Amino acid sequence: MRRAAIPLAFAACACRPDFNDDPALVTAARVLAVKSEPAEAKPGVPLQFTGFLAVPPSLPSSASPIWNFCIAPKAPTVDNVVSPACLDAASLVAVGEGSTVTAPTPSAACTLFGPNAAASGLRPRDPDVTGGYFQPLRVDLAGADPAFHLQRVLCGLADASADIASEFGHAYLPNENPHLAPLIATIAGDDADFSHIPAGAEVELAVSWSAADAESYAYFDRAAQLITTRRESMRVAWYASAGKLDVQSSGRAEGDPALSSNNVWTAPTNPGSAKLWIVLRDSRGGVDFATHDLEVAR
Amino acid sequence: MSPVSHQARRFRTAGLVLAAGFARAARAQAPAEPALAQEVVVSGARPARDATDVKLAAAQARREPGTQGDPVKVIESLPGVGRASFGSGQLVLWGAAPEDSRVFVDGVQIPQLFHGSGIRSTINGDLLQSVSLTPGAYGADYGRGIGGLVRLETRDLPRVGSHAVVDLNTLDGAALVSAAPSERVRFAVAFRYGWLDRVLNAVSAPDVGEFFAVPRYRDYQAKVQIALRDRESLDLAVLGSSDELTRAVQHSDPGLARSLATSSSFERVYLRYRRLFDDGASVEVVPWLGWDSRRSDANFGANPAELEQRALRFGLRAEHRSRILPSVTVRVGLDFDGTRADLSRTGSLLIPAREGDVTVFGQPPGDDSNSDKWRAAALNLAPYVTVDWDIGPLTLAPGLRFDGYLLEASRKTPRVGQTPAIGQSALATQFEPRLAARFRLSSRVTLFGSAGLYSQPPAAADLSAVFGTPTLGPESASHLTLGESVEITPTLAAQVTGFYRSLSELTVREPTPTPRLANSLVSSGVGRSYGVQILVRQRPWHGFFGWLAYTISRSERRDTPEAGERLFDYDQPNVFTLVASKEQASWTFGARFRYASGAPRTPVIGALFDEKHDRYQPLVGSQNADRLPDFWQLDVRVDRKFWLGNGGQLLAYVELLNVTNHANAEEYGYNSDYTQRGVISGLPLLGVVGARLEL
Repeated sequence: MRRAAIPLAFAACACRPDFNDDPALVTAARVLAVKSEPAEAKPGVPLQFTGFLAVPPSLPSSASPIWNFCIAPKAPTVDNVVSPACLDAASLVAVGEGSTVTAPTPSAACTLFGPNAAASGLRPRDPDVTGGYFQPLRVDLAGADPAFHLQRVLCGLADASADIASEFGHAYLPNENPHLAPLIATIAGDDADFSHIPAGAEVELAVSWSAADAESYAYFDRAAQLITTRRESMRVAWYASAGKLDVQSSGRAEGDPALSSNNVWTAPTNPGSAKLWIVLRDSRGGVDFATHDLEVAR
Repeated sequence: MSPVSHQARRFRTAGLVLAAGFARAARAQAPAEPALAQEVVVSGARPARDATDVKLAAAQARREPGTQGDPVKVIESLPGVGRASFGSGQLVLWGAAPEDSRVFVDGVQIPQLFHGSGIRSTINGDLLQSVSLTPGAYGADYGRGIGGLVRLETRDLPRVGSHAVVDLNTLDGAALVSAAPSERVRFAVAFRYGWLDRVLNAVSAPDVGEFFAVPRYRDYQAKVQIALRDRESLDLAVLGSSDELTRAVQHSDPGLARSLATSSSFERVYLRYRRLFDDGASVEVVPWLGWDSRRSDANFGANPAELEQRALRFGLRAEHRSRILPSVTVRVGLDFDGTRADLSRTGSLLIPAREGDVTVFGQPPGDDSNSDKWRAAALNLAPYVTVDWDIGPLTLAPGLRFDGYLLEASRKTPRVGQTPAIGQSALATQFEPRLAARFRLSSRVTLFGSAGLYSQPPAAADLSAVFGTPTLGPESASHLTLGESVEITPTLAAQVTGFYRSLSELTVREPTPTPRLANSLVSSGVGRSYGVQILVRQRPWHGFFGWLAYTISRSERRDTPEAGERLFDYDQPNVFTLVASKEQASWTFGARFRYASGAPRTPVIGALFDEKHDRYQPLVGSQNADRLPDFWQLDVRVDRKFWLGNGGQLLAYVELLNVTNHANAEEYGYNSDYTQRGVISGLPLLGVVGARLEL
């Protein structure tokens, strides 16, 4: 911070609180991501959900998540991703338990969370910025905050003419999950050996994906009342059980054609086992993830 | 009796310093003063109408500590005014929402009193005669607002010679030039340009601007005064103001990159015809035209939030005042106001936030998105009549205002394809009786009270078929005040005022999970605010002057009949201000101390993990059940005059805000998973150094 250079002009300091917390550091078991196969489908179609659980090496890995659909729609006034009612059992529909479950999304998803009004004269839900509608899926893991996966459901359009809706129906391709390419890790330009990372070393990490993973998709521009084509942005979330990551997340914007994203992990100064978790997300809700085991040596 | 002495008698004795109602007439009796700061003030009681009015002469107000030389900023130190959070510039009067109070310059409404961040007013203080604050229960001559009033009166220009004022300081630079090229014509032009944003960038931490945005601002004014016949004048005035702000937070994650670009501006052009007749009657007519513009273009990751509003504003204010009996003065007037606004908006329904929204600082907005373009028009025609009736020690001022609204929106339902729009048009009427009374118990003690009904049209931004409700009607309120003023000494006065304001048909969000189409807002809100304010004021006495203001109040809202009562977002139970200045030869020393209760906040009681966006979302407790820590701040000011000869003078000043460097909490901040909370503090110390040259 620069200090006041002009006497009696300004004496200003940083105003934000310093919490000293690292969102990339995983110290307890938690859900990092959920992948559904397929990534997008009409309501009622069975989907396989796989939870990406992060458990630090020092903890037992017996955690088993419990899955429930939430059927309480969020009021437009709620500034959150789900309704507060999704925290009550009365609004939940059991799906199953385990790291992977299979279940159809509720058949009323496009009414509860999509553009289909339950009765004439009601306001359709607004889509997200990619035009998607989402069914909440709650994932509970003992000892962790409840996690919510938002499952993209294939619905029609709201506030569109029949012609536009028909054109959109033909042009829109459901989302597919992206795929993480093998992680590239180097230390001072040389390939890093994850079974022998020097303590305190700075490991340069690079993840990549294919051009097909950043899909183009049809998008209904409400302001112009036109179907346009957009491209998915890609985000990478980085987590580690020890050491320090430069950034917790990185990625590429919609207009950025690059197909990779970088980060730096600084190994802890004490030897031991560590884990690195990486989640790749596309902007329509597609997910891929990977876990890497690391050994930090003296 | 001359009109001037008649006016002076009407404002007789106890009370606050009051600028004469018809300055031009009064000036004829005043000693000639060539300096630009020339003004006429009359010490006397306020008229029975607008019993809660506090009026200050601009020349005195600008030298009060905490104003940084801006007379309008003195309003922040007056009773009944809530403390605005740092950088907001919002005006919270007796628990009314900022958008419910109105600002007028010579009777012409302007959309904003302060430039963004509240650093400066939008009108050059050197052009002002007086600053007047009425937190509520005002007379029938004003309306279209359920909150309070701020009235700025421009001053009469010097009759002879050319004059100039230049003020350069840390915040900005301003200049005013006036001249009287003939006996009948006088003019002035003024300009101000803010550079605080660049000063801040040069000398402070980069992250300061992330929390406290400082826009680049400018304003200009021009005024021409033409003397017609004797005691008849025509003014032409132009007012303009603009603010621009651009901020961007880069991030390697496109979901976390943020940008914000805002701009706002207004222009006003008005004529002001005034005539004072031999029998004491007077006429004032003010036709005006203006343009308002506001644009906000924000991106939170990939989520856009755009709002653009352009409005044509026009109006007419005309009033005839006559004395029909020795003890009865009648004012008959017409207040006409029109707005035609074109708006477009894209983004989440919850952006921008409204009063009553449960928000947590730092929480990213939802990524639901919609879009709309619409046009809204509002015409308000309001004839009114008021009577000032002196009955011995009692003065009654009954008034009646009839507000007729024509409200139009271009679309009744959201746009679907190229379907032609079906518009919405509605008429609404409101009879608004108002009454003010003043009873003189003795030469030193006066009781006063006032009550009235008020209404305001819905905001054009709320008439969207997508984001709002095109069929919204006016909001309404009733105000009641009772008080007592005591003249303790010829220069020391105290005033206690109790107030109660009831609000109904407030526009609030439709809270159900599935609102009806084109019905995202409803008129189901009610509220009330009540309290007591105390003002003890020392007028100049051996060079010492100042005041103590304390307001204790409570403000509550209920959004729907089913909902529970909650605290108003801006509720501040205690606001205390002590202002004192001492003139010693060419030096003036001043200090201001302020204390205010912290604003309500909704507590965070937990969090959930939002897997789609890879972030935690807060879970909140009871709305507004928590508060920010209390605020207090001490400011000091020192200035010195240097006489330059030929009537010129140089005023050098230093003002230190928050001289004790106290870290006041302006907001709560949270860590990434909402398990820790800290406070975001305001700027610890702000020093303003400046010089003001008057020629």
